[in-house]
Amino acid sequence: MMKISKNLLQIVLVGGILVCFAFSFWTYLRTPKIAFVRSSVIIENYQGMKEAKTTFDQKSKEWTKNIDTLGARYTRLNNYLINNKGSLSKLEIKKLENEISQKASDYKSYTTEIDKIAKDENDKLTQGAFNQINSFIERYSKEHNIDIVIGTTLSGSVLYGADKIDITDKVLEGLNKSYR
Amino acid sequence: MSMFRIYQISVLMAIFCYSCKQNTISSEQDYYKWIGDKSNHLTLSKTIAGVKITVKFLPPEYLAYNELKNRISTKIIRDSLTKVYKRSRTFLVSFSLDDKTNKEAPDIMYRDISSLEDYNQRFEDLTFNIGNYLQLKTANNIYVPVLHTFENTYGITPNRSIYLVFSSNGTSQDDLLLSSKIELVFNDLIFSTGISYFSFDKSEIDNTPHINFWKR
Repeated sequence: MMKISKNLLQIVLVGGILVCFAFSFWTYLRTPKIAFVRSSVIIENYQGMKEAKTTFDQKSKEWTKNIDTLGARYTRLNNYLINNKGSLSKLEIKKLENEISQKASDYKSYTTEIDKIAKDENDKLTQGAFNQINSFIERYSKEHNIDIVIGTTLSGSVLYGADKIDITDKVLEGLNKSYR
Repeated sequence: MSMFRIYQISVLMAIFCYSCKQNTISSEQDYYKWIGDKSNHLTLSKTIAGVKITVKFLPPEYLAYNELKNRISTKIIRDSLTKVYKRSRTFLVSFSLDDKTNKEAPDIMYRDISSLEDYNQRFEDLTFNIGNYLQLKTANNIYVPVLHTFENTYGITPNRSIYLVFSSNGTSQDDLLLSSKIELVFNDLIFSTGISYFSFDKSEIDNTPHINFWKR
């Protein structure tokens, strides 16, 4: 009788240990794996974002040159009228005033249009780079079985993150490697 | 000559013949399959935010074959036409949606489109303005496409393709044709996938198999 109860106890003990082990393993599998990324570091150092910014800056320079040219034409005509008003006929003055008014209107329309185009293009360029970053993070997370990736922002949505779940450097390295 | 010597020579000849055969393909389907095989590095693709961009390099001999395939032609004509195509670089760029996003907006043309104006702009960009977004870079020069054709499938397929041809256009032809690496750069302001680079090595371009299935 004693022997039977001793064996039963051993079986119950081993069974209990196995159940505990299985439960711990199941809990480990169910616990989401979390990582975070320092978003500002990624945005500042990703090659794609830098190149998008360079492309936009080049276009901005071109637009600024055109705006300066239009502005210079207007200023030149205006100065000519001011300096020569005394020696011009009424008809010539009227003609010049109309031309100056037209130049002013062209300048205003062009700057308004360029403002809209510049904003549009800047948005598209940066959105494209963000899309690349997000797609890469999605691929990286799937490869490394990460369930949630949190991005830190300047407003401090993540107040603290342990180094072991900071994947910023790895993401940045992989991103730049896959860019070109 | 001993039997062993004869055997050695036969084995060497068999190996030689086999390696020669490796560099020719005997049907159009197999050839297209070879070009589309990513391990041959003539077809590259990237998927960004659900949009898949595939760039395929089209070998000059294949382009000549395409032009002559329904006609019987002599070797002189084939070689002459191939030589013409060798003076430029031709690519097929395709846009499609990956499987996950296909259910929401099956046709790439409607992806993120909220008005008729947006659709018209996208159509115009793909048809007329694509040269502003796709360029070819070598170490020393940047090339814009001299020809581009947007293949509008009118909704028959959810994907769209563009043929692009780059030629030397007054700059050094040697640079375009002899550069060890050429990069197709897509500055995507149409589908907002950012700036993507597709790199092709000259060694892989030169390694395309010869066509052995001309109409005779």
